Amino acid sequence: MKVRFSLLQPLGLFVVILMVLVLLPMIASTYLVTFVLTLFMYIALAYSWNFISGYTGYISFGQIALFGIGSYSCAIFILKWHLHWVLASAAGSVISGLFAIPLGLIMLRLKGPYFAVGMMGLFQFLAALAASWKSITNGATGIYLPPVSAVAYIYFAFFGLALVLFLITWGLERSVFGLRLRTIKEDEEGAESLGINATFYKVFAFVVSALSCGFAGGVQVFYVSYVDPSTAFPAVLNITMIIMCLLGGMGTLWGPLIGAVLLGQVSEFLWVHFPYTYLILYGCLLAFIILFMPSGIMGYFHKQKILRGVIQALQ
Amino acid sequence: MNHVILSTNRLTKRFGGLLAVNQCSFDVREGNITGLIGPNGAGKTTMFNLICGNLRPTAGEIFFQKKKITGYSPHRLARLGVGRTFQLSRVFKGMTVWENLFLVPPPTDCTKRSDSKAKELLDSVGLGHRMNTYAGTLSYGQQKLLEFARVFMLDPRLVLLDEIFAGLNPEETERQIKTIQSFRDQTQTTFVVIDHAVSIVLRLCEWIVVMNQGEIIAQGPSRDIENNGRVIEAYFGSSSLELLMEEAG
Repeated sequence: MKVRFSLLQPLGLFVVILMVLVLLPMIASTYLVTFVLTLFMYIALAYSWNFISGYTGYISFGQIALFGIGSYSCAIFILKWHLHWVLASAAGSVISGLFAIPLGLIMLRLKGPYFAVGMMGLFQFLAALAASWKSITNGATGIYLPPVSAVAYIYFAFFGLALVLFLITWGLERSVFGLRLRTIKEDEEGAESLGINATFYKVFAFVVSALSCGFAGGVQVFYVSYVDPSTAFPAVLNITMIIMCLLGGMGTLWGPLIGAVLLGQVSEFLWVHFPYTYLILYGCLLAFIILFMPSGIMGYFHKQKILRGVIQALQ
Repeated sequence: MNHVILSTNRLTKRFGGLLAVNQCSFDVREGNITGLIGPNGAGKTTMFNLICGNLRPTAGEIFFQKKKITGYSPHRLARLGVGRTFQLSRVFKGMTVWENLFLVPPPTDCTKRSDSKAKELLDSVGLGHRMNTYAGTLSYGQQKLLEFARVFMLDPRLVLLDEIFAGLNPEETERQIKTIQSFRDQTQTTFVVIDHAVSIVLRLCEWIVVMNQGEIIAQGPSRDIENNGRVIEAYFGSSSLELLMEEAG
């Protein structure tokens, strides 16, 4: 298999950037560290959305539901069983992943807008459930955890997660497994007729997405040391991770990274300068991307590549 | 005579009030090219969808290599050796020609590497030089050729071709006929062909099954079918009076 997009060739540059990012918590200001930390969370979530929606084409408007399950599980594990927060996040991730198996088998029977709306409904349902199931979630009051001493640990947790998800996506882009995953987006019935078990691939992507969302949710809970229905199921983050992936380019290796880094900066800027209207501007941005660049920044490069191929064939 | 590779037994598919396929029984013999013809809406594609597991029959059974396969999922049937192409080509347009073939899961008993097999298949349909182009940029005829080559990545024992000649120019059609014949001769693959171009089907196939309004109205060797009154009637129509007279003798 050829590498789809070989930006990785300057491996040296990659290593240098990685080194800088590893050393950042020791040298940079707390503000910068928390900012980059948030970026890493965005990157991780954008990649996790990319697995299910970017590769299989099943657009989920409620992937954050799995973030919420991870959040609550992690909080409960820390509080009731006194687990170390990394272990608790991992356990939250596993619970989210396990929950995703039956959920995926049911939900992924729905197609197109039905799946999108179905996931959105699920996300709303879980948020409502979290608010009303007081014996476990403590309802709208939420669960408080001991505050975090060092931000650097959180930083490395999100950094590690983002890096792992990037590497998994890199593997997908190079492997026949990734090709088969993409056939579902192109033509599910056609894929089935070639002996590809579409259900298995879809559910697999959904579970990988759930595992990473769940882990991110767990780390986030420990970071803010508090969980209630609106921090576990944040509606804004739900849309943010989707816009990031769309902006960068769905179903590509670099798309989620580029989208998350760009939009992370933009949203910070908007939030600081337009604290009351920034969500409106966000919505406008989403509409703009869908209207004018539906395949994102990477999609633009991809089109150029196809065009070059056509021109070569004509010559 | 070769033994039966595929057979349907009183196969029925009902869509609400419409009987798309009604108690159809027919056999396909190994190594044959069988034609399935009939006017629009006769139930030919529904029949393919039933055989390939895209639809579940309302009643009846399907046997492949003496094994009952009714209700099997399409991917399972593909792994068993039932390949198909679609009425409208279903190549993965956003992938290269080569990727289109390479992604097909290799059969379990396959000894040959996927990449050398893919290359041979592409060469045999004349797409060897287009391996790195995106499938979506190929002409419609070439996409059909690609879809045809791709199905052989499964090492199929039975291939169902749904209107493989539709949208091909006469030259491409001739070439496609030769390709099907040579694949059959080399690999002993069994084919079932649906097409509206009756002259091509009669030329290509040894055995013809004729459907009309969900029912099989005739089947037999192609030379017998050519002159069959009911087939001519299904295609060209006939007033009920003439029909009555005919029956009266």
